[in-house]
Amino acid sequence: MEQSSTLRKDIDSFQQISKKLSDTIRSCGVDWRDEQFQKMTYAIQTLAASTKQLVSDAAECEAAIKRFRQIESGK
Amino acid sequence: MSSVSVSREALHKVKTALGDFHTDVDAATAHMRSHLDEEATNIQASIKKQREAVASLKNNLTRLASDVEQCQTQIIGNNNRINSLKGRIENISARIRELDNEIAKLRAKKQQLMSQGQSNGSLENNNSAQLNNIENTIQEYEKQKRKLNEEISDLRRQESSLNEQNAVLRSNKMKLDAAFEKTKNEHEFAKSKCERMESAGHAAQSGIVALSGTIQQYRQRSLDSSSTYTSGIDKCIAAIDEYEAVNLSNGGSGG
Repeated sequence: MEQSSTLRKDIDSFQQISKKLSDTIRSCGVDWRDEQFQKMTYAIQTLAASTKQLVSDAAECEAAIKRFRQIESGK
Repeated sequence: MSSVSVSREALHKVKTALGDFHTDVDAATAHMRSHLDEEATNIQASIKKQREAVASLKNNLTRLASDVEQCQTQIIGNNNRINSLKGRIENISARIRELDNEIAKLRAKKQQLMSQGQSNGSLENNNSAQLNNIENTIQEYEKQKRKLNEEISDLRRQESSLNEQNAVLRSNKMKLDAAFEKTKNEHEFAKSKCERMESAGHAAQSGIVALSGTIQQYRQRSLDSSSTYTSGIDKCIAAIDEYEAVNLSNGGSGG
């Protein structure tokens, strides 16, 4: 259960990292509309989607570990 | 650049944010991979421990089954000896009854001879010798009876001792039977738990392997992107510097 909580902290950490990057860029008030900016925006959106996928995979993994721990503890 | 309105400070902030993102992703993926490795090791250790517990219970079960069988064999052996003793006691008792009959017959004959002697007025030598023989035989039979009775007492002591042994053995067997049933249930539960742990452990290990792969890809993609755009931003900052230098030299203003 302790290990599973550690994994949960890792998942939260990824979400915070991704949010921090988005928030910082948004807070810069950048009015930057060229092709490079579009590419960067797209890359950051892709990263955000990757983060969601990572969080989803991690949540599934966490659930599988929890299931194992429940059996182990006889619950 | 078609329409650009960006300050050097804003680009520096974005660059710093990308740098922080790079560092944070690196640290977070390292943490998560380390935790996943630890988790995988713990799951394997836990399954191994459970398998050992199942094997230990199986050994206990085998040992208890052997003890129960040994106990039962001893009880059957003792019962056979008790039956054999009873047979011998019965045979000896029959022999004692035969001796009693013989003695009764001899006493009757002795009485008859004595009665004949009394009716004749005196005992003849022949009768006297016969009476002595009969008396000696009676004494011999009585001696045999005492010996046989002692033998019966000894056999009954053996029988009693074997019955006491059997009472202890039966009590032990009951305890062993109870321990066997308890261990059997524990073994079945532990085995079933082990199988469920193996199945859930396999699913968790597969999840860990898949997640480790996803993390590796995510890390690589994040680091590549942040590096690419940090480099791009550096170029933008350099372009702004250049633009300002040109404008300033021409008396204009940049931003």
